[in-house]
Amino acid sequence: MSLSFRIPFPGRLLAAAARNPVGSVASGILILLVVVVVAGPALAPHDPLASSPAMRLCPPSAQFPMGCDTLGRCLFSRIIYGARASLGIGFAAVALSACLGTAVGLVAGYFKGWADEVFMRITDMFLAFPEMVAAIALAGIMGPGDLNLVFAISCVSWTKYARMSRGIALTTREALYVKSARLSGVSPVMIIVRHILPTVRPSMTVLATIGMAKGILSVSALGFLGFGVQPPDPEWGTLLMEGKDYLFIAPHLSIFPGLCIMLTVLSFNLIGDRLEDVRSINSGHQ
Amino acid sequence: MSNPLIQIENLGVAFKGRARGVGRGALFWGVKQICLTLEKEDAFCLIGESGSGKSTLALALAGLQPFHEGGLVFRGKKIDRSNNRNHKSLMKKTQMVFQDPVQALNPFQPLGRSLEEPLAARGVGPSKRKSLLAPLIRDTGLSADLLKRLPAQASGGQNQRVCIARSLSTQPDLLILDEPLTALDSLIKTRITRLLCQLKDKYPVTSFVITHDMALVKAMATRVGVIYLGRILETASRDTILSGPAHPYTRALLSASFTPGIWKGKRLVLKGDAPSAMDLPAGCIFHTRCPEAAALCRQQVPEPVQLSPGHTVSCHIYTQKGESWPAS
Amino acid sequence: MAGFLIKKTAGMALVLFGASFLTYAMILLAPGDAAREIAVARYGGESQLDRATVEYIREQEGLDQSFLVQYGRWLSHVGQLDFGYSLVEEAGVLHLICARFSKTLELAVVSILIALTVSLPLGTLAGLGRGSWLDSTSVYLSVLGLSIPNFWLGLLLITLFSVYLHWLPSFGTGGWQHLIMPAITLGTSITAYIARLLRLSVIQSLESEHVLALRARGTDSPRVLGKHIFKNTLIPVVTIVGLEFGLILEGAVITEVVFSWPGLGSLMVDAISNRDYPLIQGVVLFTGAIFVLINFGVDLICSTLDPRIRMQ
Repeated sequence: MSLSFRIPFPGRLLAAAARNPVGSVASGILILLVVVVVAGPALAPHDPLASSPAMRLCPPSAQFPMGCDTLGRCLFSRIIYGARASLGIGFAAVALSACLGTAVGLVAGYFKGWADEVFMRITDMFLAFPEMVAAIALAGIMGPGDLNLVFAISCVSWTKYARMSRGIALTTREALYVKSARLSGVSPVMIIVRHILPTVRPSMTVLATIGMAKGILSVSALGFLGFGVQPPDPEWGTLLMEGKDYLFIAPHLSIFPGLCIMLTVLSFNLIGDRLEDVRSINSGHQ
Repeated sequence: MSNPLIQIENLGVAFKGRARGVGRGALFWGVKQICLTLEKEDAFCLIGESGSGKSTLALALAGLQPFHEGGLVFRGKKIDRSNNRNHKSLMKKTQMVFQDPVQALNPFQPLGRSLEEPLAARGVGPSKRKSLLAPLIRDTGLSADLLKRLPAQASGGQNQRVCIARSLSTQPDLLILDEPLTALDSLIKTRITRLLCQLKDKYPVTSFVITHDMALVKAMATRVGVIYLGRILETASRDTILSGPAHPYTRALLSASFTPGIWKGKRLVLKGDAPSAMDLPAGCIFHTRCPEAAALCRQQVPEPVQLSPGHTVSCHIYTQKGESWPAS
Repeated sequence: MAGFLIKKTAGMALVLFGASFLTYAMILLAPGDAAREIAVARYGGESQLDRATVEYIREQEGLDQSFLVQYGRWLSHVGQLDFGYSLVEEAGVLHLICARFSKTLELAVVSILIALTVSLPLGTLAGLGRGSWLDSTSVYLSVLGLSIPNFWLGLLLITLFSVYLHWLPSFGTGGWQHLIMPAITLGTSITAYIARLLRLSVIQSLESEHVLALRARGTDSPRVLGKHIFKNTLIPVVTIVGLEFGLILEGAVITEVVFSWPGLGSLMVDAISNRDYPLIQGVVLFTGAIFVLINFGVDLICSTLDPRIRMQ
C-alpha cells in the first residue's frame, strides 16, 4: 500500500464520497477535528475559562452557541479547547503504546529464543488487567497531570501492538530477503528497521486508529470519574462530570460533550474498520 | 593441482518429523555423508531431482541452516559445529543467490538500495559504494532508472540480475546459486545463463550452483555432482559426466533432459516413485528404482570409488572392481 | 492432554505472580509518603501529626524496609488470603471485596444475558443475510454501540427514564427496576461486540470449504447445515464471552459509579478517591486474578472443543 498522497480532482473526490457515504462522513468529522485542534483558539468565540455569573446555565443562544455551564462559561468554547485535551492525550497515549509495543514485539519476534519468552511473559502479566481498570487505578494513584494520564492509558494498551507485531515479525523473519540480509552481514537493528518494520506498518495503523477511539474513551472516562483532566481545564469527560448534577435544568451540558465524544470515537472506529478491510484485501492479493 | 577452497566432510543435516500424539517427531536426514571438494574458481554444479536435498546443502554451507553431522574445512580451519566462529568467517566470504528473486529482495525498498546493502553493511561509504558497484552494474546490464524501481515494478530477469550483482559486490570467495534460473521464463533463462558465464570469466569466484537445468550445467560447469535423496551418488568433471556418466541414476537424469547435446540414445525410465525422505531404503539409497539393482544393493551402502582422477561414484557396479555384475 | 494442562496451569501461575508484583509496584507511583497517608487516615488531620507518629507507623507497617521485602510480606499475606485492612472503611479488604463482588456479578450476569439475547439472533441473522439491509444496519448499529461512551449512555438513560419520565430509580439497588438501566448501559458495548464477531464468524463458516462441500453434495437441509455452522461458530463465541469479561469489568467500574451501584467498581473508585492503598491493591489484584482465571477457563473449553489447539 503506497503511502504517497495525491489530491484527486474535486470531481473524483465527490464521486468517491458518493460511493462511500458513511466513510466520507467519518473522514469529514476527523478532518474537522484536526482543524479544531490546530486552530482551536482562533475558532472559540469566548475564553473557556472566563465566567459570567449572570449567564449561568443558560440554554443555547446566538451569543453562546451551546449555552453556558454552571459558572457561566461558554460551553462551545470549552468544548473546542476540550477537544485539544481529549484528542491530544489520546493521541499521545496511542503514540506511546504503539512505539513501545511495536518495539517490544519486533525484538521478541525477530530474536525469538529467550528474548521472546521473557517479553511475552511480561506482556501476559500486563494483560492480566483490563485496560480501563489499570488506567483508572494508575491515574487515580498518580494524581492529576497530562503525562500521568498518558502513562496510565498506555500502561496496558501497549500489549496489543506487541502481540501483533511479534506475530508478523515471526513470519517475516523467515522471508528470503531477510535471510539474505543476515548472510550479507546486515546488523539486526538494520534488519528490523528496514526489512521487518515495513511489513508491520499496515496492521499497526489499523490498531492505532481503533486505539485512538479507545484512547479518547479512556481519557473522557477518566475525566468523568474525576481522575483525569482536572477542572477548570476543559476536557470532554470532565465537562460531563461538571454537567451531570444539572441533568434536569440544563441537559445541554451533558448532551453536547457526550455527542462530541461519541461522534469522534465513531469516526475513528469506522475509519479503522475500513482500513482493516483494505489491509486484509491487500494482504490477500499478495 | 589441487587448490581446494572448501572441503565438505561427511556433512549431515537432520530434520524433525511431525510429532504424532504425545511423542516427538522422528529424526530424518535431509542430507547425509556429503563429501565434496570445491576448488578455487571452480564452478561446481549440483544436479538432482526436486526434494533431493540440494537446497538444504546449500543453506547449510551458507550458515542459514544448521548442520548436525560432519563438518567443513575452510582455509585450513575446521568447522565442525554450525555457526561457530570459523563458520562465521566463512559466511562473511560467502554470498548466495536464491531461487525466487522477488522473494529475495525487500519489496519495500528500491532495487538500488537492496543492491547496495551488503556493501553498506560492511561500512563502505556511499561514494565508494557507487564506484565499486559501477562495473557490476554495467556488466549485469542494469540501468540507473531500473535501480530506482521497486521489485514489483521490475521483471523476474531484472530482479535476478540485481541479486547476482548484489552477491558479487562484496567480492566473496564462495558464491552459492540455488536454482537461479528456475523462477524465470525460458527466454530470460538463456540470457541469465550467458550472463553467469560472462561473469564467471570476469570475476574470480568459486561457484556452487544448484540446478536441474542441464543447459546451465553444459554452459557453465567445470565440475558436476549428482545428488539423490540427500546422498551424493557421483562427482566428476563436466565433460566426463556428459560423455560418460557412470551411475545409473546420472544416466537416467541426463536422458530425461530436453537440452540437446546432453544425451544420445533412448530415454531411460526409472521404475516407481522416489521414496519419502522419512522412510528411506536400506542399503544403496537408489536401489528401489535402479534398473541394475542386485541383492547386494539392498543390503549394503556402496562406498565411493574413484574411477579416474576427479571422478568418484557410489555404486556397487564399480565397487565390484570389474567382476562380472551379478544379475538380480 | 495432561501435558497441555500442566503447561497452561504453570503459565497461569506465572502470570498471576507477575500481576501481583505489578499491582504492588503500582503504589510506588503514588506521590507522597505512604506512612504519612496512613497516619492521616488513622488519626485524621494534617496539623495533628508529628514526626514521631509518622515514624512509628513507618516502622510498624514495615515501610522502612526495601520494596522487595515489603512485596514479599504482602504476597505471603495474600497467599493466606489476608489482603490487609482498609485504611478508611474499618474492615478487612477481602471482606469488603467479597461483599461487593456479588453485586457486580449480579450486574454482570444480567448484562450478559441481555447482551446475548439481543446479539445472538442479530449477529446470526446478519451473517446469514449477508448484504441485506439487516446486515448493514446491524453493522452500523454495532459500531455505534461500541462508540457510545457508557457513562454518557447511562446519563442519557437516567435523564430520560428517571428525571423526565419518573419511571425508574436512578441509583442504588432494590428490585429489577434498579437493575435494568445499569444492565442496559453495561450490556450495550458487549452486545455490539458479540453481534459483530458472531456475524463475521457465521459468514466465515458459511464460506468455509467444508460447508460448501456439504452443499455441493446436495445437503440442503437447514438442520445439517445449522449443526455444522453452529459447532464452528461456538468456539469463537466462547472465546468472545470470555474476553467480554474484561470488557464487563471495565465497563462495570464506570456504570457502577454513574448509577451508584454498590459493586466492586465503585469500591475501587472510592478507594482511589480516599487513597486507601491496601484496598486499591486488593481490588486490582482481585480483578486481575478473576480475569486471568476466566481466560484460563476459556482456553480450556476451547481446547476441549477444538483438539487442534491442544496439539500446538
